[in-house]
Amino acid sequence: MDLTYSAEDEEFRAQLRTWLDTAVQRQSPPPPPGDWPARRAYDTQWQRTLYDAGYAGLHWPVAFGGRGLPVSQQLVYLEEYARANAPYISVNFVGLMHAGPTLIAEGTDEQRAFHLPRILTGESVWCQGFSEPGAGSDLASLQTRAVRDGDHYIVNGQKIWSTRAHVADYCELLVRTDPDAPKHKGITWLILDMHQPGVDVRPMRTIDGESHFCEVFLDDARVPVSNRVGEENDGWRVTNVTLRFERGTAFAQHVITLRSQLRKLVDVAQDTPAVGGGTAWDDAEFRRHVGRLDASVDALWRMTQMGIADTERTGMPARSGSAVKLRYSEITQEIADLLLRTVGRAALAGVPGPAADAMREYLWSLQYTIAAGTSQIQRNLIAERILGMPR
Amino acid sequence: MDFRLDDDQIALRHAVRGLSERHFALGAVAAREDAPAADPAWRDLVAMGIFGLLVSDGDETPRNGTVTAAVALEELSAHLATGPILWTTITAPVLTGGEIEAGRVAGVVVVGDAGGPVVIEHATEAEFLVVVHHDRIERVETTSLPEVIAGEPSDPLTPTVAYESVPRGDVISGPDEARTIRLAGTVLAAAQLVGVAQGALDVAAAYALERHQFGVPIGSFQAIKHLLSDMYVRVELARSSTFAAAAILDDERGGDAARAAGAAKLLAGQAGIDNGRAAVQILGGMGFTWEMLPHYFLKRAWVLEQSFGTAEFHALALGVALGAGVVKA
Repeated sequence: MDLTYSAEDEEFRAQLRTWLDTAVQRQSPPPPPGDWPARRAYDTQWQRTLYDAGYAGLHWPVAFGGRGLPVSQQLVYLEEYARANAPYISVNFVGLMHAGPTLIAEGTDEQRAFHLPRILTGESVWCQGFSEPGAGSDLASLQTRAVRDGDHYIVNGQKIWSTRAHVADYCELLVRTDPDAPKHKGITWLILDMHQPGVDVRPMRTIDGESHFCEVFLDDARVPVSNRVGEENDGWRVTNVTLRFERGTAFAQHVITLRSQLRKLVDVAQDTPAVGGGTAWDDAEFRRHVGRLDASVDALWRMTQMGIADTERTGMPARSGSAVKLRYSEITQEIADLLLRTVGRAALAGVPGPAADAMREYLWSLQYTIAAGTSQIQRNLIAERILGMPR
Repeated sequence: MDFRLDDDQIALRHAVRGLSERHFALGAVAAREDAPAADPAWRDLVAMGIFGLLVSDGDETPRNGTVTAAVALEELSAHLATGPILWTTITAPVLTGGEIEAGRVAGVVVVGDAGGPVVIEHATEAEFLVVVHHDRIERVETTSLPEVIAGEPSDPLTPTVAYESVPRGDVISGPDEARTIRLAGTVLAAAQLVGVAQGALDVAAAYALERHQFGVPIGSFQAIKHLLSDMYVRVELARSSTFAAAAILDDERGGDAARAAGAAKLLAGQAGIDNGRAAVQILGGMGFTWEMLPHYFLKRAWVLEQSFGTAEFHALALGVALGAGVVKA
């Protein structure tokens, strides 16, 4: 076991750091919360900047336009990316982390040739059409129907929790193609073009007052059969490729970002006057709390590194993914809670700056233990699949 | 960069597991209560080379020695192995080879002059006693120790005694060695805690499959599943942190050694204690009896938690370091 980086890795780090420092500085300030068209423009422009500099799709194989970098350099990239406080992957997340890897694993040559370059350059934005009002944790019970009509599928139904669907071009869509088969056996994975009359996207207002998530209503939406990924009725297997990526390593950026969130908490505490003099940071119990969080954040990063290395070696996402997902979502909430307590009553009046941000981040953090498999589902998965408890 | 154990380390893990099953079978744990670290178990540990894992061969520092030692100590600890394994392992580099051959070494870290009694594990069954101060290591003759303060050790598998004070001994090493031993002790105590946490999980999971209520195994209830999966998460997180810290001790270019060691000890201590408690809970009424295994794991976890810095100690050190911005990227 050896945690040192090679000379080549360090050279890659040095170049990347220099480039990132300049590129991040050149970025204009991000758009205000809620302006989604501007957000899309901002995020895709940043993705294009990464692409032009040769930093897009580092984990994708070279044959599909990626850089095919060794694991150690992917880790360096994530560390430096977080250190530079570079923009969050945001609207490019589904394309780069879900749809792209799924097409690489299961798509046709035509699908790959068309979509992969567009994802890498930020030209097209993807969303996910998995969950439905009646199919959340029990995803396989989804009801959105697709019926063959010549060389098209006609799709009817409703999707929910589609993140940033209001600015997406394509949707990775799960539909039921065989209602008579057992629930896992009648599902198909389709690429849906969002720009068509049968697709109606309605943003949902969430507890933080924003609208990251959408409902997607499908009313005779049309999908060419050539947009099917995998065989008809084999979509559950294809989906699990995606879900395993999601539970495996796609969260690496979240994990590494915890470091900067923790540093920000320390910064705010050091600037926040305490009753009776000094600052919030002078409280030893506060520092211990931060110390405990720091230990967990560090361990999560180690687990993530080990998981990514495992995935690279075996081709299968690491089984530690559920554990990482569980803890990082809880720690995100713990940091947000501590930050909100630190800024105090100013958050109640939404005073612009750290106070208003703290309340928004606190409320937003509550989605982490729900999205992508609730913490309760993750615990079931660990107990059943890893510890062998009966279902 | 390589996160895997090498073939020799994996082979050692299997060998240690075999030894543990022979000498430290969990089914016969009651027979080892209050018993010294007796031969043939101790002789076999010596023969396997456990206590030489950190010792240089001539000028050659053992490559990845701390990681290898962590593998062995985790496995032994999962079987609640008896004897002063941790201190004998970490002090071997500063005690001369021939003299301590097959000898048992007890030790204690003294922080400043805290006053109050000095509590030492294994002091009464060891041939050697080492006291680690901030700036030096002393060897104390066990014959020079005062009378022990009468008491009953909390862990029936770790003979632990208190003295009003410990006499001064011969200074055998300086501040650098003292730091090295403290770091190695911190990381290897963490490895032992990972073993305790894993052992407690194994016992609880086996019981959850075996014990039936309402006509089904209690492991089919989500309430039990979630307790078990939290145990798993704690032990996996602690293990990642511990092995990373061990690798950093072996090559400090990999990170900040003190910070990594403290983080590992903190998480492993929480995993050991919380998993010990969770095992008591999952075994229910039986878990509260002396007859079942959970209390042994919980009591051993507390012994280790109180060695080489408690969770509170390391949490404060980590917090202060983060606040001072001295953390290496």
